Amino acid sequence: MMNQISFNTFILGLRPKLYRFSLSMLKRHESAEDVVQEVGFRLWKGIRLGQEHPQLEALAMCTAKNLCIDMLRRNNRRDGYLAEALMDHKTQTVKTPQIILEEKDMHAFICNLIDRLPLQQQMCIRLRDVEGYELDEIAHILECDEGSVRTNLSRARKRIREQILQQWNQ
Amino acid sequence: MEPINETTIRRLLERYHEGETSLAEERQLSAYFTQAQLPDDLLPYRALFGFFRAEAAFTPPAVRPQKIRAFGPKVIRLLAPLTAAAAVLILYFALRPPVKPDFICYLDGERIYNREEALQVADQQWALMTAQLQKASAMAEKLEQMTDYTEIIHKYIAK
Repeated sequence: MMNQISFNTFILGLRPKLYRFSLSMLKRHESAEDVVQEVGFRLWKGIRLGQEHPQLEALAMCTAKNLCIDMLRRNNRRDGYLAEALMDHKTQTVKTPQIILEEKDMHAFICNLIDRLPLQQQMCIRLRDVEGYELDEIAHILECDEGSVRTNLSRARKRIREQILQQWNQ
Repeated sequence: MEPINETTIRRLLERYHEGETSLAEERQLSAYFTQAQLPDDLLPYRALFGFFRAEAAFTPPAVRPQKIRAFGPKVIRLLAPLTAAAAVLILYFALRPPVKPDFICYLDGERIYNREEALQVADQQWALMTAQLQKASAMAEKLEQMTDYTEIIHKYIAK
């Protein structure tokens, strides 16, 4: 059975992924933090009750996904996004103000494109292209089969390509 | 792994959009789009893969202190502030010094703290008493008359 130290190491390692995924869905740092803490709490509770899980990371992400969906349903709050907050953190190389502005615009544009996709497609693309999960892991997290993950991923990517090319050619 | 050239990248991009690329191939794509010189038609993908890299590089702020979870169920956690407020109120009422009234009087067995109210009650009692006295004196008058009539009747019978 996993002890507290190894659990803490595991959950701290997973925290960035949980946080990013929750933030991408909830758009609020505090809510994302709440989800991360709740996931940790639930997993540890399960472990203490002797419920071992072969894919603990997938279970953690799946719990985060379910908590996010619950929160979204409860609050129905999808207003705005925190691309600004993310961008401040990411543009640290020396660039001209114009490039920074263009990159911020593009970042916000892509973020907005993803946010406008159906929820299942959003989660697929974030879990694959941002978090780097394998298709079977995504299927496990989203509680669906690998085929529908592939379909959702393909649809999401094609939709984004279409919109980006349209924007680029304007 | 195939050498990275434009043709390979274009083929990988097609497979990427079909959801058929492996993670390693997607990393290859991402790395390719970091280079400075790209064909014009591939430039939009630089923004896309740059977005994914930037998102993945985002690290959350430092861990904030854990919430107090000792209370367990949410209901108990919600009730805790109410319980604390109730305890404070009880303590206040239990420990506060007794208030000494500046006026107190007893009327008809009742304790009254307000001077005006006492006067009002006294007036009412006085009015009641006066009414009773008036009624009693009226009855006394009638009794007196009855006595007179009785004497007249006795005199008449005696004759």
